Formats: sequence, C-alpha cells, structure tokens
Amino acid sequence: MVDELQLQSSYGRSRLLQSPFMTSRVEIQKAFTLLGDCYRTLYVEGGGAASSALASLKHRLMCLRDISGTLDRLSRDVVLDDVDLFEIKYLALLAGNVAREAATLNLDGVHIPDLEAVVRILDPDGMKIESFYVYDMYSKELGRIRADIRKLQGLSPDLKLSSPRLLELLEKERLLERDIRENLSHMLKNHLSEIKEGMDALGDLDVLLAKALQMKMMGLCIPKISDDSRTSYAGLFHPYVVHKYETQAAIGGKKKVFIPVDLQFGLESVTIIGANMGGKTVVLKMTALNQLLFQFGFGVAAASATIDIKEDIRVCIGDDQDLASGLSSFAGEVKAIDNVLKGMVTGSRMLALIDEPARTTNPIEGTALVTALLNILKNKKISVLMTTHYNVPGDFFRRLKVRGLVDGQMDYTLEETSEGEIPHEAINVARSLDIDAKWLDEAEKILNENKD
Amino acid sequence: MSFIGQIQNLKSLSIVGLEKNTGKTVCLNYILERLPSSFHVAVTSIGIDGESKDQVTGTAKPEIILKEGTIFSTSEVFYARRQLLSDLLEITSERSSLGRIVTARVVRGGKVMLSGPSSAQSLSRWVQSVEKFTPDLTIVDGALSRLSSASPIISESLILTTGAAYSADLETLVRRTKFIVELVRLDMAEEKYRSAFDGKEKGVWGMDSEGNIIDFQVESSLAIDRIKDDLTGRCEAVFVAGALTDRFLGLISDSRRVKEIELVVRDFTKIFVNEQNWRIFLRKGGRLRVTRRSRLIAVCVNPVSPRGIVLDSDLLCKKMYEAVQVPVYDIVKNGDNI
Repeated sequence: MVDELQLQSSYGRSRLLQSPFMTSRVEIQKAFTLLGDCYRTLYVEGGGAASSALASLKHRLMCLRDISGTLDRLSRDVVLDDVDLFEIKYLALLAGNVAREAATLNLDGVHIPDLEAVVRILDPDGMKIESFYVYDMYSKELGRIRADIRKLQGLSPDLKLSSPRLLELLEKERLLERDIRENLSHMLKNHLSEIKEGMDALGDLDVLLAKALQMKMMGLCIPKISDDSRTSYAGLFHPYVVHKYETQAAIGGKKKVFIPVDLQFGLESVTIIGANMGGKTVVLKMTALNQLLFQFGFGVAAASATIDIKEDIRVCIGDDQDLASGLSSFAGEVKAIDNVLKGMVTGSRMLALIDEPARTTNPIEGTALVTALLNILKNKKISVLMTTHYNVPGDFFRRLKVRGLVDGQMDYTLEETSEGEIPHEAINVARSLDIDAKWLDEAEKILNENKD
Repeated sequence: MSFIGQIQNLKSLSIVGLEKNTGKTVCLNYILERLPSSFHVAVTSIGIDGESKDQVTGTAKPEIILKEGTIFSTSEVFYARRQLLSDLLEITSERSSLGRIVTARVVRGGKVMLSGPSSAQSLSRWVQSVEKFTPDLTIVDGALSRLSSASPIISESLILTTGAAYSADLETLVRRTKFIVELVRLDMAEEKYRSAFDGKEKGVWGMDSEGNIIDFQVESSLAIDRIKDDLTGRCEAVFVAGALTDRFLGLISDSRRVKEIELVVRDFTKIFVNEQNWRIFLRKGGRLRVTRRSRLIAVCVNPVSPRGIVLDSDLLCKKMYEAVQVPVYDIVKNGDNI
C-alpha cells in the first residue's frame, strides 16, 4: 500500500516512513477527520476546477526538497553559503505558494506555517523570484563597491587583476558579502523552527493528498473508531487481489470478481472454518492489513468499518519452514505462535491472527494443540482470529464458517456456526480444479467405506 | 558566414578536444567572448569524473570567462570558488563527486571553473533542464577521450579541437583527425532502419529483405562468439546498439556479403574501431551508417604542443581543410579574422 502511494517528493516519502503507528484515539481521530475532509473536498464535492487546482498543487509539491542538511548547519551557527540560502528561500516561497493554493481548494485542516518573514529576509527586493545572491540591496556600501568594480572592469569580463585598485575593491566586496551572509544566517536562525515546521507540513500535505487519491483509486473508506472494543467490517476486500483481478480482466484474461465479506469480532477468540479455497487466509490477511492501515491513518479496504485501536498486532500466516536455520514447517509455526503467547504476557491490547495452527502435524495432536491454545487465550481480553480445519470441542469461543460451495460456486460469506460442523468439501473443491479424477474417485470410495 | 555568425544559428553545441592541450578551453572562451552580449548562452562542462587525467596530474580544470547574462552549471565546490557575481537559479538533482550541480546566471562577469554532469545521459538531461531559462544556445564543454560528451543526444552540433599535442607529425595529425571526422560525418541510415532500430537499447539486431527484425540474442557486440558466421546470412542490415568493436567490424568485413549489408550504429560515439580495420572495411565495400548524427561546424587546430613542438599553422590549416572539408581555424593566430 505504501509503494502504491503517489507521492510527489522524496521528503513526503521520508515523512511517511517516519509516521508512527498511532495508538492514541485523539491522534487517530484527528488524522481521519483531516483525510476525510480532504477526500470529500477533492473528490466528492470538487469538480473540474478542483482537479486542475489539485494538479497545480501537486506540481508545486514536486519541488519540495529535503533541506535538513542546511537547517542542521543553521542550528550549529555555521555561516550559510549562497546554496544554503537559496534552499531556504526556495522552500519559504514554496510554502507561501502551496498555502495559497491549498486555501483556494478549501483544504481547511491543512495548515502551512507562514514563512513570509523568512522570504522578506532573503528577498529584499520583494521580487518573489526563486533565485538568490547577496543582493546590492543588503548594504549601501556593497552597492557602491560593485558599481566601482563595474566601472573599472569595463565591458570585458576578464578581470584585470593587475589593477591594485580592482583587487582591493574585490576583496572589500568579498568581506562585505561574508558579513552579510553571517548576518542573514543569524536572522534566519530565529526562524529555524518555523522553517522546519514548514518543510514538514509540506511533506505531510504530500502524504495527505496521496492518501486521499489512494482512497479514490482503491475505493477505501474512512473508518470509525470503536467505542466498545468491537471491530466490525462491512464489505471487507483485499486491494491487492482486487487489483490483480482487474488487471487480468483488462488484458482479456478470465474474469474473476472479488466477493467482499462482512466480519465482526470483539475481545474474544474466533475460529474460522470452511472449505479449502474458501478465502479463510485472505480474511486474516485483510484484517491484518486494515488494522495497520487504520493505525497509520490510511483509508481502509472495506465498504464501511468500525475498528478498535490495538497496541500490538501479531500475524502467523504462511509456512515458516526455513532450511537455513534448520526449522521444519512445524517448528517454524509453533515458534511463531509461541511469539504470540509471549507477547500476550505484556497485557497490551493485541490482535492475533493465526492461520491454521498445527496444520503440519497429525490431526490428533494437532487438535489437542489448537484446543489448548484456545483454552489459554480464553478471557485474555485480546482479539484472536484463527483459521483451522480441526474440529475443536468447546463453547468458549466463537465459530465462523465460510458458506462454501453452493451449486458449484464458492460463496465466501462468513456465518456463525456451532460445535462439530467441519465442512467436508476438500474433494469437491479439488474437482473444480481439474485434478486427476482417478485419484479423487479413489478417495471418495475410501471415505464411503469408512462411513459404512 | 563567419564562424561566430554560424554559431549564432545553432541551438546546442559540444566542443570536444581530441587530446589535452589542443585548445578546447581557448576555443570555448573565444566563442563566449565573441558572441554578442544580447545572445544568451547556457554552458557547462563534463564533470570532473570525465576529466580524470586532470585529477591525476593535479592540474585544475581550466577557468572559463563568462559574461553577464550567461547561464552556467557547475558543482557546489566550484560554485563557492567562483570569481564572478551570479544569481543562483536552481539546485539540480544531479550529483557529482564535487557536490550537487547548481545553475546560476552571471550578474557581473568573471571567471569560474565548470564541472557539470558527468555522463552523456545526465548531460542530455541538463540540456533539457536549462531550456526553462530560455538560452539562445547551450554549449557543452566535452572531455578529452570522452567523445560520448559529443553525442547527438546532447547537442545537434560539434566543434573538434586537435593539434600538435595529438600528433607532432603534421601528416599523422591530419590523417588521425580525418579518421575521426569521417566517423562524425557518417551518413544517416535509411529511414526504415532508423525507425526499426532507434528504440533498441542494447543487443545486436538485424533486418531481412522482408523487413523482419531479427534478434541475435546477445547483450552486446562483445559477445559475438555466440553469433558466429550465420550473422549476415539473411540480413540486409545489422544494428549494434552498444559499442562497435574491432572484432565485430572484422566479422562483417570477412563476410562474403559485406557489400550487401548496411551496418548501423546509433552515432559516432559508439564506434570503437581502429583506423586500419576501418580502412579494410571500407576497401571491401562495407557501409556503416548512423541513426543519429551531429553537425560538425569546424575543426580548430592548435599547432603548438606542450612539449615545445610548433607546426606551421597555415600549412596545417590548409592540409587539414583539404582532408576534412569543413572549416579549419587556428583561433590563436587568426582569431580576429574568422
């Protein structure tokens, strides 16, 4: 999701990468109020005028540069050279222009610090041109000396260094310029924090605009913050999978449609059972992704969402087999789950997402391990979503079931179910994948024999 | 038309010396001085990385004298040492070993050392990026032994400087310069070949009589062992996207179909063959064409070598002109009359 953001400046990217995993309700609320307003202004209410103003604003942000090096020198009382002074002037002018354009777009929540005072220091002529040198305006004496140099030098730019008078003037000019730069640096130091804030605000605006655009492109929503520790999603989808399906369809491939699902959970353990290919793992991945998007202030991949703030997210999905460190699939997996249990001890508000624990061992021990895990997680005030194929006894956790194959079509809807209902659809699903019929027929025969 | 008059009609120009001390800087300063003050130039020099010999011997890059209104790009380090007054216009995104490349406009004339972008691609980007300051002409001061800075992707026209420092023997000097000039002035390939080949970034390609494009499946002409002898069997044209080497040219020369094949390269800066092999190729009836070419405006000669050898300027100019058939100038001797 981060890579898909269309940022204009590298400083915007570094602001994004610095942005924290938010756990404060106030901060998250503030972030989404801003993003929601921005999205509404630009893409819901905004018409053609808004889009051309937006394009121009983005074009401005492309000019944003990271001048931390310059600001660092300024803070250490180094006398800035012309290149540094240019950088600051350029940024200050940019901040002014961006603030004006943001105002015409009615981006009310966006605040760009006023750097007019900085501009005045570096633009004594008031020309508002993005260029810099030690202007004659800075000192009457400098103006006089330069006029004299010009007279002596005549039209030929080749310095007649043989003239001692010229040499003397050039040296005077150099010393004066140095004093002026020192003075300018001194004056600018008083504005150091505003300049830094201005640069950050421009970077943050870049991120904000990119997030709003991403909401529009991917159909993301502004989530509500949960008041009762319950998280609920309507129309949950996976942006990456949706995007893949769309590109496949666009290049004339087989048309597939992603079917969004609804999901609710509180501080409880929820097992998700259901047929293979029923989207169980995708549910875990979507939940993990959206929790992260939520707490980094991104639009969320659902039609609507109310999300509980978590302090910790632990995800055990996939095969952790690692030949290099000598871990088998099973060892990798139990280590990952052990990690969840250890994290739990800290007592932080956690969301744990565990995909088919103990799936790589025999079903008898596997069932025991999963049942024990659910037992331990019981009453721990953490949210656990766990997919499994095992028939776990007990009523101390919720069970959700993927509806499964209906008339040969996969129905991904999640519904509440009760103990003991483990779907037996593996063979049917395999058949829909064109697997060798001989094998599947044989398996069915064995199943029927066992029943009898 | 006078030399300077002709330059005023150009949009972009590279100046390249065939050897150090052939008068490249003299030539550049001459042009910058003589252009009318209402004619605005943007100028840079290939980066210090390109002028490695100077770094080795420790001699500084030559100073260029710039007039009021001239736009120039150089590294931060050299900008700080400038002996002129200038208005800083832009900090470009190009970097060099001497810091970022900055662009400024001269407010009061004086001297500056130029060290701009150091690759053909970045120089080409520079030419495009200074367009916004609307210069009448962009000039790139190319590096010795880095002919790539004269590539047509950077500028439409070219001045070569040569002289006694390149060869102390007049005949040899003329012959070796003529060889380079021949390569610079190679004819353009046919339109069908240009449109077919110009987009190919690497590899060796062919086209048969029906216009089918053949990919020889090699990264560059350095890997010719993998192509062997069927290379020319079905081709009317062979395009080498990268460097054209002696071995590859030899392969074409030795082919029975050498006369029927049009060998195509992107431009003369991609040709790395020695003169002897080139002559053999031509004698056997070979044809070499380019997809892009730059216009050679003049050859400037410096009859004086740093080792004290002085050639007869008039004779050198005369012989050189007979050989290359473009204007030949000795700027130091005849600068006021050309």
